[in-house]
Amino acid sequence: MSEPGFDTEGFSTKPVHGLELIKDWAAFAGVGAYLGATYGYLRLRRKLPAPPVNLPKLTSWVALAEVAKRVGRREGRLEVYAAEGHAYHARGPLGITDKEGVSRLQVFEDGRPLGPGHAPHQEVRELGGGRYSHWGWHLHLATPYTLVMFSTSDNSDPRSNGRSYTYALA
Amino acid sequence: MPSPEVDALSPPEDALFRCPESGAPLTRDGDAFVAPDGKRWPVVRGIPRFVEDDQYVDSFSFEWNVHTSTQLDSSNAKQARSEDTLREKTGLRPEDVRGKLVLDAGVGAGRFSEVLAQWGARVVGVDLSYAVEASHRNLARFPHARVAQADIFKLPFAPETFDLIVSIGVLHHTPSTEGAFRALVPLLKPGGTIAIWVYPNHDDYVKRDAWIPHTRRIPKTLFYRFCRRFVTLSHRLQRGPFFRYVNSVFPYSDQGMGLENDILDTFDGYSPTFHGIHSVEEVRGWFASEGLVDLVDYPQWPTAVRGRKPE
Repeated sequence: MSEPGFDTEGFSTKPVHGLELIKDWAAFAGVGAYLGATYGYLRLRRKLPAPPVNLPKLTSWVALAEVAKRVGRREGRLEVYAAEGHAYHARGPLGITDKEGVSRLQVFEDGRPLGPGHAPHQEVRELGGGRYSHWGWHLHLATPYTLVMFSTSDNSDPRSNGRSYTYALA
Repeated sequence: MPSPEVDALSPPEDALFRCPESGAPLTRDGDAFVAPDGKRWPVVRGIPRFVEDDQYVDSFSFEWNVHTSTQLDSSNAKQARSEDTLREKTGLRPEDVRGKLVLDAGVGAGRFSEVLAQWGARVVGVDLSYAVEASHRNLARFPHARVAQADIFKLPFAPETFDLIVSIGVLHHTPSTEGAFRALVPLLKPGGTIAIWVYPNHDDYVKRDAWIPHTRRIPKTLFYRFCRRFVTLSHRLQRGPFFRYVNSVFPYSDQGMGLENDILDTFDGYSPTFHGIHSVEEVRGWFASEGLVDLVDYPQWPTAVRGRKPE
């Protein structure tokens, strides 16, 4: 039997500096990448549980990001999410007033301005013809927005008429 | 420091050792124990060696020879964590072990043997790894403690030798936790006590079980370097969302016992070749099927079980 023994290869519990520290960080990067790939594999094989997600926190981060994105935005598309007669609801930008004579929001159909703005809601719903209005702060998935109620120039459905609807701040 | 009463304890004598292959008594011949068939078991640096090498436990050879005293109470003036752990996982008190011949199966760097020796037990610590180099040095001040390098499945002792056997956090690192446990029981004297703790099959132990087939492939020095930086970073950034998330999928040690301990424990958790996890029912079943009685388990450590061999 050969004489047993064990060599720790110079490792100790003392703090490391210089070249040893560089070797440590290189190992950290290499092993870290390997463990990251292994984690993906283990998740695919369902050998590790799904990571815990703090939904309220995640939602508030998403909301903040959305607010940051919308505040100060000067133009954008209007995505319709509800309909009421000839009126269609979409989410507009934040940080604008809906006061008549002060509001700077304009709605466009294929780049052509619609109007009149600040129309009574009942007229938008019943007469349409390009009338629109916007007002207030509303919440969607904890994200605030200005509600834009608009109609198309020929009272067709903006979700299927093939035209684009946008807003811009004058 | 041990009391004079403890100092007066007789050391575990050479006659305790048997040939692990034949079970025959051994005679001392210079730096070796010799079996009647001529088989020689060398004594190297004061440690009897009953194995050729450290087989499947090279990660433990490495970690305990780097962290020779990290978990020793004698090196941690402010805390007696090893003593607390021994009490919590075995229910043992100094009066239970004083003057008794105790086997510490998987002695490591000697953290629990040190406590047992301090309490006045005559201790024999065995380990398959070269951790015996560290524990031999750490226990050198106790004449009534000695260490041998041996395989838990072929221990160099006669049946019914020990009054007490303890094995805390060891048996699950063998190819068969149950087999290792069953190999220990015959060494217990009638009326003797055996206390073990093995990894439970829940929480972080299950997650590590998924990782270990992959992490154990990483060269141990490379992985140790990784742990050294990773745990240091985690100590600095542990309140941040990234490390909280990482800890939920790759649990690392944060025992409040300092950076050195957490580096050691993280390395220890992911580097072994074998990592058995078990239910409390399973462990109690082993005790029952070996005919052990007066079983005690501990709510805080469900897979810590103690039992007694009937007279």
